[in-house]
Amino acid sequence: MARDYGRFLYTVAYRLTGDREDAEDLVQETLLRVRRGLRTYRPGSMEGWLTRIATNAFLDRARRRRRRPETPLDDRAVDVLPQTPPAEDVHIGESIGADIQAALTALPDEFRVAVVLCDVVGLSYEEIAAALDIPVGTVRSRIHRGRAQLRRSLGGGAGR
Amino acid sequence: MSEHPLDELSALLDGELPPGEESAVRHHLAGCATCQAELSSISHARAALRSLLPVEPPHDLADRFLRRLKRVLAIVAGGAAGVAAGAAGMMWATAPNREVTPSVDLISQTQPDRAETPIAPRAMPAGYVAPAWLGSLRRTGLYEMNGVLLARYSDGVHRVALDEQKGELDTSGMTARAPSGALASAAQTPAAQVPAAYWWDGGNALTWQAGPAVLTLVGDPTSVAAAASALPAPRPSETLGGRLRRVCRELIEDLSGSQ
Repeated sequence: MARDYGRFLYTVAYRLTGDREDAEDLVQETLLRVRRGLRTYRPGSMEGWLTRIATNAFLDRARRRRRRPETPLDDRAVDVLPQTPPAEDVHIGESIGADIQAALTALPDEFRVAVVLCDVVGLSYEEIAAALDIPVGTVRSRIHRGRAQLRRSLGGGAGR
Repeated sequence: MSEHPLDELSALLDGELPPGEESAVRHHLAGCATCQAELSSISHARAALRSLLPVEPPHDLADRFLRRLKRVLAIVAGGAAGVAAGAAGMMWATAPNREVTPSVDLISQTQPDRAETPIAPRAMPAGYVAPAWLGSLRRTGLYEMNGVLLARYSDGVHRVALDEQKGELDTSGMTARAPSGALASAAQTPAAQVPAAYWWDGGNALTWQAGPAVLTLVGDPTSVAAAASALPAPRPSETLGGRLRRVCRELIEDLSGSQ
């Protein structure tokens, strides 16, 4: 059971960040928040709860970065972190659809989150609105703009 | 509808438009080439996104974080159980003492269906009330009524239901109600912690007296045996909430860890 939730959470994190290491960080951050937020747990789907916490952790991080842009990794960090994962380590879920993931990662955070929650996680518009604390009309608009922009960067604009 | 209802096109694809709005959008769409092209474009994007596969966590991360996630899940399950039991105000230790004759029919009804969907409150046996959080647990369900604890656990391998109530075991009723299952001797009992247990109902049920309580497991024999070894023994002084928490945690940890 935990393995299923683990795969689910890592997938959400990877689709949001588009990067293995950022996804791992996001998973760790999510689990920390889950532990801290245990008392706030309310009945609902476990996936929905994990998604809400992961998404908010992701958006918080994005906001922090906008306020205080991160300096590029210093030499020490570059030495420690592998630049590319070993080939056998790349899961099929990552290699297939790499172009789609690249287009997804290029979306503005707000659009990307809406599209991931809708098309990857499978939440309803109302669930997304509740998770992000925004009106359903905004969810509708972000999903649409996210998909339209994704389609353009995948090489097929509207009307073509 | 004079302007192009662009945002509504995605909602249309997702079935997220209210009926009135949907017919208006469809009406506009029928006569608007721009919106038809936009709809086709975003439906491609939508299909591309939905074709993405799950991503497997890296092995080193998986081990670390599965352990943590398991603990978290156990706490979540236990915490919710505690809340539910606390609201009912039931104390395990103060539950009425009575003669207990378990009924396989009743316990079996608490089994999840084959699709492994959570038991909906409406699927509860008559007279039993499901706490609201039941739907949040995919593989473990726990509920209680008047001091009777009912639990179910289901995953790809194990499927088992537990009935636990305070009282003295009355085996005479069991043979009468389960003609297919003569009571087997304690020698076949899987767990050392179960000194005098009875296999019955053709080997699909196991009942034993554990301290102040009578425990009955129903399921296929393998699952019953696994669950019997996983179950913590009841403590005379513990609250029902505490008991629910421990049962849930042990079942999740042991059964999901044994796959």
